[in-house]
Amino acid sequence: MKRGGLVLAIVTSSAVALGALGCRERSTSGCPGSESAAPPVDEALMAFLSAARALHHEADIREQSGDTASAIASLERLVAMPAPAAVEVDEVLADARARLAELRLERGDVDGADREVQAGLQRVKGPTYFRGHLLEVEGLLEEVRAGALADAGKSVEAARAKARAVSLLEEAVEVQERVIDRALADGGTHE
Amino acid sequence: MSKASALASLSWSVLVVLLCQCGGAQRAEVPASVAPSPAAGGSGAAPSVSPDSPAGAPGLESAPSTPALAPPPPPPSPGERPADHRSLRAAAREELDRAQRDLEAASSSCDSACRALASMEMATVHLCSLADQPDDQRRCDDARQRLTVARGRVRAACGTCP
Repeated sequence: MKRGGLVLAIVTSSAVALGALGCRERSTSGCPGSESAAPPVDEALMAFLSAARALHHEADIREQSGDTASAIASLERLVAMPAPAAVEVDEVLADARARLAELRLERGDVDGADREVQAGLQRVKGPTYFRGHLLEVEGLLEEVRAGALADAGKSVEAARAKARAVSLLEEAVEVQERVIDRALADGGTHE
Repeated sequence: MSKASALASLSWSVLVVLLCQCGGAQRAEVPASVAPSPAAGGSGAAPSVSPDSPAGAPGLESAPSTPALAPPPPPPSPGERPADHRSLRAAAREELDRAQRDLEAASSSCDSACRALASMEMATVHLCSLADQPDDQRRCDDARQRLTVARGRVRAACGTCP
């Protein structure tokens, strides 16, 4: 799935949730009956999610044309945006950090990728897809780091990096397994 | 509820609502050609099996199972009053709303499961590529086992992931 699509999924689920909230609070022709007035839709949240989606699309286009530096610039704008406090925002930012880490890793910037992963992990603590994906990316970067250390003749450090990679990838597998269990058990609770 | 069964249920609910709306003047008959059957429900909703699925997945050929559909409410008889029709329509609409919610929930859960499965596959591939010690190999085997089970579960509930 393209990242724009993933953000779209978050935007859509948020819109559905906000719409359902509106349906609970007011009577409209499109909502199963209730009577009271609607709360204001969280415009700041929707604006953030919309801008995030646009920036992911921009990054998609730049990445497809081979301009990784510009794709990174688009995503840096995304993570620098003022963000309202919301779970959806944390997920979008964690996902953007994971993508930034992958792009930096492509360019050989292992330390930069690591910083993105750590920033992303601060946003998502529970066993969600987003945390699992960040752990997966961190495992990949430790794998790259282990290779570079081995090439440099630093066998002890390389072995440590490899052990970290194995542990992180194993943890990613466990987290995503739990995500799948929960998704299929509860029939669609937002991840 | 699986995506296939949610879609089948939604289709059936739409049919019921349409029949209820048309049934005010005369008794509605369900043509045999549109009467639901497990096969019809499954063929309309079951996703196809992608040939480019990751190798080694067990049970790739099996389509998601389609649970039995709930029987429809009986069509109105000529002697029924308009109030009966209204309540029948309301019940059918309620059923349609519920089926639509089920479909949305099933789609959302499958999106989540498919994303997680892709990440799980990537992590397992890299984990196993690093396994050059007996302990690492054991961890690789364990991850592969978990992946196989997860892949089977996702396929059974959702069909093919995009």
